[in-house]
Amino acid sequence: MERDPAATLLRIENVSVVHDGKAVVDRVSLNVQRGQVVAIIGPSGAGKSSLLRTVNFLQQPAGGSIHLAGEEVRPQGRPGSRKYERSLRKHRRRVGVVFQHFNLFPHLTALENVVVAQVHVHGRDTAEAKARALAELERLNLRDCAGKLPGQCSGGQQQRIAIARALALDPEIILFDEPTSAIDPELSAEVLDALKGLAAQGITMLVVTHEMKFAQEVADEVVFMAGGRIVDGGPSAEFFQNPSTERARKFLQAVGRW
Amino acid sequence: MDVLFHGLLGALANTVGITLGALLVGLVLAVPVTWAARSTSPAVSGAAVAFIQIVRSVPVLVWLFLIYFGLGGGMLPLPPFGAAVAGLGIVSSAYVAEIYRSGLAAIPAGQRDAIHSLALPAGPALRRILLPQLLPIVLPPLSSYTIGLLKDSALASIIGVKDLTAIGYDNAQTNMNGLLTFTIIGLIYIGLSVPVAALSRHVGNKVAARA
Ligand SMILES: Nc1ncnc2c1ncn2[C@@H]1O[C@H](COP(=O)(O)OP(=O)(O)OP(=O)(O)O)[C@@H](O)[C@H]1O
Ligand SMILES: [Mg+2]
Repeated sequence: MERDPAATLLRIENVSVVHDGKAVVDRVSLNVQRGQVVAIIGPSGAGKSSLLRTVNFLQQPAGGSIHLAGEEVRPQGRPGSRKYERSLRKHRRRVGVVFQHFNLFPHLTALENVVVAQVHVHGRDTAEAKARALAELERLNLRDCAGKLPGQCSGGQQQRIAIARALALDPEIILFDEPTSAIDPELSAEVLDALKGLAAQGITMLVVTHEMKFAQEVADEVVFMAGGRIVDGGPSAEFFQNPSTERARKFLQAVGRW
Repeated sequence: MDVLFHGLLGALANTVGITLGALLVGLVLAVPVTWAARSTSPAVSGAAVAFIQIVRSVPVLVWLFLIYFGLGGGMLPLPPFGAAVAGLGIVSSAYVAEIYRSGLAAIPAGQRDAIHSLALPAGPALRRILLPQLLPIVLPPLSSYTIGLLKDSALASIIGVKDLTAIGYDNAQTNMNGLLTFTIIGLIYIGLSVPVAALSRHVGNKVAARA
């Protein structure tokens, strides 16, 4: 990937996250280019989720800034207040999120899950939103799920419904937080395949993952976090061949990748 | 029936009227109280929490006296029925706000994360996502509360409302058969609370069938 700054879609600049007086993310900077897949790996408690959540301000950073397509995101008002959420709506429309535990709406069918934000956020009419939702569900091999409630679908299906829900809103980047960690291992392949498909279509993705094989094969760049900092990283092929730090080497050994 | 039991129908109407009136006041008033209690401003949430705490710390009967004799005496003359609805309604708002609050707390944080990351505005988020999940959670405690309210409505008899309890008292004075009279009154209260419980079960089952 070229380092053309004009192509930088997401710029995380010196971002910190503080919980209980402790910096669990400590002045981290990270760029994601348009069309790129960046994987964030690292041990549990490294601050990966906290960092990811600052991108669309589900987690308010204690310091630093977030830039999307060259523009800094500046929320208004007190974190958690209505004003704050309202001021972030424009930014959040451009950023899709897929969560570890799917966070689907349990009382709505798969189809309705994919429709609801299209109607209320993008102002699409119901017929248009339904057609789009069906197309996204189809694209993820979920035709049979459309009329089912999330609880009636497998974990792998639920996570793909969540991906369809994000895709239907035409985000510029999609954030994934361990998208396969809550799924039976034999079903995680179908989710990883879906992610691979998105990568092939040039969709920009920032993916926190414990799936080293996925990071190695699909990600363009890998970022290794530990103790709230980026400790290592680089182009995925190089990083997995030859991590430059002892910390990363140990981690990769522990997960059987080095 | 009215012949046999003097004033029964009017009393029934008063008991049901006070209960439903106070419930309605409580359900509506609890919305801003809940909203305030969840505010990110410490002053606003503090005021709401204090309101809830104060209302719940004072006996319901004292609230009725305060409103009927206190307010009703001077500034704002209220008939006993109105004072009962207002007093029980305000008390209800504090309890119902607690029910709303615990219901909202029972919705997993991930639902809010999803709402925010999809950029859903507050109105549709409430209507399409939160309320449908809240309803099955709050319905059982709301129905228990309503049955409690029905029983508390008997306190209105003390400020002069001719409700079931008051009419029972009047009749017992004349017919000298307190046992029979109040057994009948008790059965009528039971008869009134059964449909409330049944309705809650019915709606609960319907929601459960969909989940
Ligand atoms: N809401 C919170 N309140 C307090 N501490 C928190 C909170 N969220 C995270 N932490 C702490 O911050 C640190 C980083 O957590 P985070 O979830 O970002 O790590 P992670 O790298 O995603 O780990 P995992 O691989 O287990 O998901 C941890 O020590 C965690 O206990
Ligand atoms: Mg995490």
